[in-house]
Amino acid sequence: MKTIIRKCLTTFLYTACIICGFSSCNDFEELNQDPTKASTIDPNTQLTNALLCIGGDWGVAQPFAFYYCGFVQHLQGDYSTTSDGGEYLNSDYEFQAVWDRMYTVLLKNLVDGINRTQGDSSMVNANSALRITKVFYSTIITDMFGDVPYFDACKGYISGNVKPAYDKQELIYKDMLKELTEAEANLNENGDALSGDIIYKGDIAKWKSLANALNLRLAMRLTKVEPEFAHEQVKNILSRSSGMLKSNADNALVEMMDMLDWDYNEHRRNGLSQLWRGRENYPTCYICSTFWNKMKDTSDPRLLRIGRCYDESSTNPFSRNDVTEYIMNKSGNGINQLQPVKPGFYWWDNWPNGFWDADKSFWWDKACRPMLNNAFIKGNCPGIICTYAEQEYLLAEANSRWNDLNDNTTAEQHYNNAVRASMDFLNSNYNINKIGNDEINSFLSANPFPSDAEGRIKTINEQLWIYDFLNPAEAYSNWRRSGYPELKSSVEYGAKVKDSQSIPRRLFYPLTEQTYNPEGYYSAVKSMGGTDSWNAHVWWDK
Amino acid sequence: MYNKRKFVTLTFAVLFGNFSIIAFADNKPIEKYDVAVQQNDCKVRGTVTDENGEPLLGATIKVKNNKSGAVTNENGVFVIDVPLHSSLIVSYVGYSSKTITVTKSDQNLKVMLSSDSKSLNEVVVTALGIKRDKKALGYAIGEVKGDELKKAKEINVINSLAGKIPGLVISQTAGGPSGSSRVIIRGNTELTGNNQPLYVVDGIPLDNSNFGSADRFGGYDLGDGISSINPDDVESVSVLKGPAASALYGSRASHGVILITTKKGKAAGNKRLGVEFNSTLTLEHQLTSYDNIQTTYGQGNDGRLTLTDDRNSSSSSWGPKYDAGFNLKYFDGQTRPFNYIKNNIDGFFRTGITATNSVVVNSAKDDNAIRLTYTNMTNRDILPNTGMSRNTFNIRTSSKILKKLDVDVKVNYVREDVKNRPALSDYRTNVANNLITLAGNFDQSWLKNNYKKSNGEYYDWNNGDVWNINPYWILYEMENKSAKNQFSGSVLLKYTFNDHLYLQVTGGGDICNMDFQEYAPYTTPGNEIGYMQKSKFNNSSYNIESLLGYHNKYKDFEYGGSVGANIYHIDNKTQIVTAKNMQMRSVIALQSFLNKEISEGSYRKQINSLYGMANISYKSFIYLDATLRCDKSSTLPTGNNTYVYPSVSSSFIFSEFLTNKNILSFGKLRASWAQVGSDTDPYQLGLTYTMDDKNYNNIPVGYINNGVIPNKDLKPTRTNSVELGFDLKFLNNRLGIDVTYYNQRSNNQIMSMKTSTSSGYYSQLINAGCIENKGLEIALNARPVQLKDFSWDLGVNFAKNSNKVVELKDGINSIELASARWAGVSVCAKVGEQYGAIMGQDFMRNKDGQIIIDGSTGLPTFTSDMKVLGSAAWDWTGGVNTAITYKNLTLSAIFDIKVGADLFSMTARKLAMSGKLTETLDGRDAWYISEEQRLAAGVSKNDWAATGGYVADGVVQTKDTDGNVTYTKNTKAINPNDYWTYVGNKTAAPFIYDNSYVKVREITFGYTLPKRFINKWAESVSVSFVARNPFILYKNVPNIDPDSNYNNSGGMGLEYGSLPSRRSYGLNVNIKF
Repeated sequence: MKTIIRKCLTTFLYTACIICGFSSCNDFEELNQDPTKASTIDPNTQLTNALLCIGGDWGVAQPFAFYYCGFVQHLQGDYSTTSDGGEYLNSDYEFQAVWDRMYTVLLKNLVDGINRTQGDSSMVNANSALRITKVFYSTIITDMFGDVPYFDACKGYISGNVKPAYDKQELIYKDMLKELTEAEANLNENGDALSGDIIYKGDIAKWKSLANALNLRLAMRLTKVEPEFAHEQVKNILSRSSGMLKSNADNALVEMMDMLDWDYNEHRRNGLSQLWRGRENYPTCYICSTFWNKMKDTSDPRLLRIGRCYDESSTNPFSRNDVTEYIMNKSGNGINQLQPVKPGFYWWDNWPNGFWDADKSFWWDKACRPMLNNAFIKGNCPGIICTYAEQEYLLAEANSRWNDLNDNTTAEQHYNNAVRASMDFLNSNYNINKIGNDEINSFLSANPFPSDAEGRIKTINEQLWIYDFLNPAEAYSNWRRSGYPELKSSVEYGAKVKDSQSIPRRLFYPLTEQTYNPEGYYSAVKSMGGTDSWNAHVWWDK
Repeated sequence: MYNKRKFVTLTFAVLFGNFSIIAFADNKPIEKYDVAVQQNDCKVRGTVTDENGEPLLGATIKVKNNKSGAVTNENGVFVIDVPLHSSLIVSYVGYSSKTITVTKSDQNLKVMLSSDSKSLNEVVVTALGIKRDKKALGYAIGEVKGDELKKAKEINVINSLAGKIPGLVISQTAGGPSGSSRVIIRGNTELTGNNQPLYVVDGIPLDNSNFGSADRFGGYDLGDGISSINPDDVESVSVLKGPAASALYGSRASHGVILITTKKGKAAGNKRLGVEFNSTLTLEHQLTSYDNIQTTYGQGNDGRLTLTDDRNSSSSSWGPKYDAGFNLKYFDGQTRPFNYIKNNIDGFFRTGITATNSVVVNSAKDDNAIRLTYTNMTNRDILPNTGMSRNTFNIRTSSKILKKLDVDVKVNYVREDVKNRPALSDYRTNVANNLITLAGNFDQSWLKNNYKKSNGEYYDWNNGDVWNINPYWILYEMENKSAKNQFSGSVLLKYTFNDHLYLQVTGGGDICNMDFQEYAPYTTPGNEIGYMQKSKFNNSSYNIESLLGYHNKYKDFEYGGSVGANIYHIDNKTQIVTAKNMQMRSVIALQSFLNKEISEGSYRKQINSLYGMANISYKSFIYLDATLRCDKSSTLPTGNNTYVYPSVSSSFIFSEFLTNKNILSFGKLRASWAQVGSDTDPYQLGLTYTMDDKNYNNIPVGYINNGVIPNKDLKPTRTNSVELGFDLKFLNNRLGIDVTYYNQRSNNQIMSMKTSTSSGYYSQLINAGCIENKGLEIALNARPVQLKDFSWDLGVNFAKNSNKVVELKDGINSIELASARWAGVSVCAKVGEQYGAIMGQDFMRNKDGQIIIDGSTGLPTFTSDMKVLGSAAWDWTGGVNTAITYKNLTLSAIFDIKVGADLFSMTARKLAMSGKLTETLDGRDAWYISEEQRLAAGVSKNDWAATGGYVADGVVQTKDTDGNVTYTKNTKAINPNDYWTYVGNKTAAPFIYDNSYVKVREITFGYTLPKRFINKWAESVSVSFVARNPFILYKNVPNIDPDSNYNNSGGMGLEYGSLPSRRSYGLNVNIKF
């Protein structure tokens, strides 16, 4: 009996040893490493990812297309643009989506890349470029919501903080200005090659100018709340030896690819253009009457470059017929036959009168609504970070406000540079009927630069508003800051609205923040007056 | 190092070696066993019958301690010569054996065998495949015999268990026959896991990976591993419900275990070779239809229909009243009257057919047996051009290679092909989404002839609406396919040293390859340039186990114990190729596309375990068991990756002390306590990075891969449970009742807790929280009537699980389990609530519960925070099984009852917003009249006071200058379209339904031909009429089947775009030769 038991135990132990032998081959720690993923990556690839998203992420661009384009009355009539940005519908889904996208895709990788290159002298340029890019995105998100998580944001892995505090917008702006200043100073032409740079192909001098131009944008944002501080900042920026963007050739643009894809993770085509192109066969990005009339009233040569009329002869938008001139001529009413959509209305509301076309036996009605030119709904429209024209408008305003800037260019010169660069920007980046120099000259002479400071500021910002139709984030922020153009709300146009009686000044925080970051959320709501409201003004908009 | 190929070769070698032993060893017929020449002084002749006096053909008579034996003939008669005082063991499958001592030569011995189901000494399969007396168990175990699964077949065998075992809740997805099933035992114990039980087939854990499932944005349910089990091969299914039952399977079993024992080869009566043929043919029809639909208004907007509307508004039913006198020109240029078309959507579905044919070959001699099965299942679904087929080959051999060595080898191969798995939820190819909103005047059949132009391009019918692609284009041109090859095998070696000690070594493996292909041809709306995605899943797992068991007696004590070791290794690889921009349009292959993106994924882990158990019993009335298991998991950090957990259980047969057993014939009390530890998924300890699979001008794009914050300090989850119960049998076992109470708490859960996304991540992996499940399970089995030829059996089961989220972490009181596509709804675990609270914004209400309406817009107002709108957990579930037997006729039925859970029906929401739901009729007439008056008066919308329309039920709040609030009834009439569109975007409240139901799962009416009719040519023949899911006796949710979840994990309580479910009727024929 005993020997049997002993035999058994030996056999069992022997088997157990064989089994354990299996496991010694498979080191458990190694087994738990995903063979398809890496434990580290070149931060330059994260920079590329972040820069691509500037134009390419339609998740980020969606509130621009649906809310901002409607709020600032560039576009109107498309279902979402009118429902959200024209009827002021509070849609948590949209706010949550952009919040998630900003923090979990863009800022997370930037914070991680900055963290991994911090203090590394061999990565100083990568570090600086990542910091500049982070400022670019942080501006968008704080301008969108006001106080937002900033200093502690995206550190869930680095510090374990999963409930980052909501920082005051004032502190966020001051820190972003500091970041730009430091990054500009740190950028070193003899430093590491910026392999992830898809804007300037590693040209460090241009990155310095970009830092300065962004710095100017941020400084000018503060003219309403802290004009003196803004003044000091602008003086400081202009004193830097690295200089500003010198022409459209220095524009910070990201090249996009000509494709159409609704994959949420597809970043290679312009997401905003794709949203404008729409999900349906026939694009429904209609020009808003405010935008249309402003250009029409000033004989702006861009009017029929931006707005065009199309028939529905093909399900492919790029194969439809452009019938703008046909409609204008055939109806005999010229430009007046084109009927843009008023704020707060859908394209099918107030159905266009149209006219009978005896030749074609066809009643032209829907096609009389001017739409966004096909040139702007292409996948390869560039991603826009910061451009020379915007910089010149802002410098024109700065020189109109303050006369001690030590800038050897006048406000008017900056303004003229800006207008010319604005037109040229469309000529060189989009497939439009080129705007001739004579047209620009006659526009400038027909709309002379005012002599008084307030008149100048009004003119400059109205022009910047027109220019920014391709950059809705800046269009909305700069409208809120400058007050120009003076927009009437949809209510004043007779439209029914849903969740606001006036044009909202920010977006709501996503509702999930109440659950997952209650301390931060309620502290931010408290400082807004107790309720989360999109009629409340962000700090710099006071 | 483990080597797959070697393993396969070895399995085959053993298998065929074994096969040849049986097939070629001896070809002599075995009418009688060879009778050893010895002193046989008695001649015995006898008859073996069942309880009803029917002779049993093929009953075996063996002589104890002797090689001789005999088999009964067709009259149940046997003759044998034996030594005096020898013991005859009379046995027949499905009946309790009897032992008779021969005291004299007897020419008229009568032996009546009683069927096993009445036997007190029920043997059940418990953890590690160990067979135990049911009465010895200190915990509840549910069992279903294979025969119950054989007739009315489900394509996925696990669905057949619905309604049969208390506390086992089975839900199917809306994915149809090719989809997976959600099985929950005793509620959800894990906050953010799949809560699915472990499946163990003949001792080898089955990889039940769900290859793919739909989320709120939709997708396909690619099925799971268990669906490939062939019902004809199942001997029995044991459900180990609590941790005490499953403690020995370790972490993988923390949600319970479903043990499937497959059939072994056995002697078929008096023949060497037995052949069984089982065939089922069923017809399928749709069970539910979209029935809560208004039949008054057709397509259009604002009560009007413009001439160009036919393309813009076919999915909007806000148009004018149906009017047969009015003709509308449709997309195909045809003009047709504008009237309501009855049974329009039902016409989309066809009659489905499912044919299952299987052949079983059985052979046995002495201790060697082999069983071969081939099954073919072919299904033509109720959706056009949709179906699947499955071929299963199974070989099982069991033999004694040496005197003390038993070898059991099994090889199983399954090939499954599916054409057109239904897309679910918000997927653009979900045909239900198109059909749901199609206006009542628009006949779906018009789309059938016009989905494709003559040049093969998409025929546009609704301005290329990507969310309403022509369903016929989807099914005929965008065909998706999957092919699965699953090869599994196992070898069991059991060496029996003596009556007390054995050593068993089991090795098994499972290799499953699956390809899934999605395709969208050029011009498909949304994928105009063409799209194709090929997903390849290469899954493999192996399991090696050894067990040393000992058993002995000492006076009145019986005691035993075993120790074992186990290695479980899983390695799943995924490769997904996405191709876009199709150039060669005639060939559906990857090379026809210009752009290809490839991504790879991996899932691998290993658990090494050691375990032991001990049991002791005294005089067959008190039993005590204890187990201890130690696991080491590769998914946990070194230092925390080894964890030990115990269990103790006991059973007390108090009826042993009763002198009079006439009323209470059996009584048992049981109690158990157990702990189970569990691990998690691999690769969750550290941050990882990945390269984007898309090529941007040859510049690398990289980013952090994790959406969940990894945790390098994870600890195993612990579940503690206590279970008490009793088991009583009355009136000579005519009535049995089994009651179980349990309470289990899971602590230190490894869960992925949602975080503020401003942390950069959607959630973090933590150890926290406590979730409690308490419940009561009752099973009642009775034979209320038993006459000579007639009997009625009734089984009733009931289970109530009350589940509470006791605590989470850091002041977080709610975590999201899943989110809905629309209306901001989340399914949450909220502290103090049932797991699965459906949360979202609710209507703002005053103290009296009246909805507060905004006086200026006439629209309701909403809370700014998330409210609990419903619960996705069942209050209780139950089932009723009943069978009536008259002579050879049996009629049986199974009812499945689920009560109390809520469902957010996004189908209803979609119907409401498109103006098709009956509720949208309110105020329409009045509104359209008001609009006509307005237009006639030429007044703008803002300046017009509506004369009628939809008046939202609620009150308007006014505040006077002193701040006093008064409420007045809302009177503002608005456009019902505005109301439903606005409300549908803001809240789920009007679309949350009580999802309770009572379903008839199965009805079978069977007839077994009397033996005397068939004994010349077959062993037994039975014919049954079968029906699966023939009726829903009660349901509350309109339009859809209550079992319409679109995935089988956290997305319970959510339904969107569900296709009708299926009912099937047919015939089953079983012939044994």
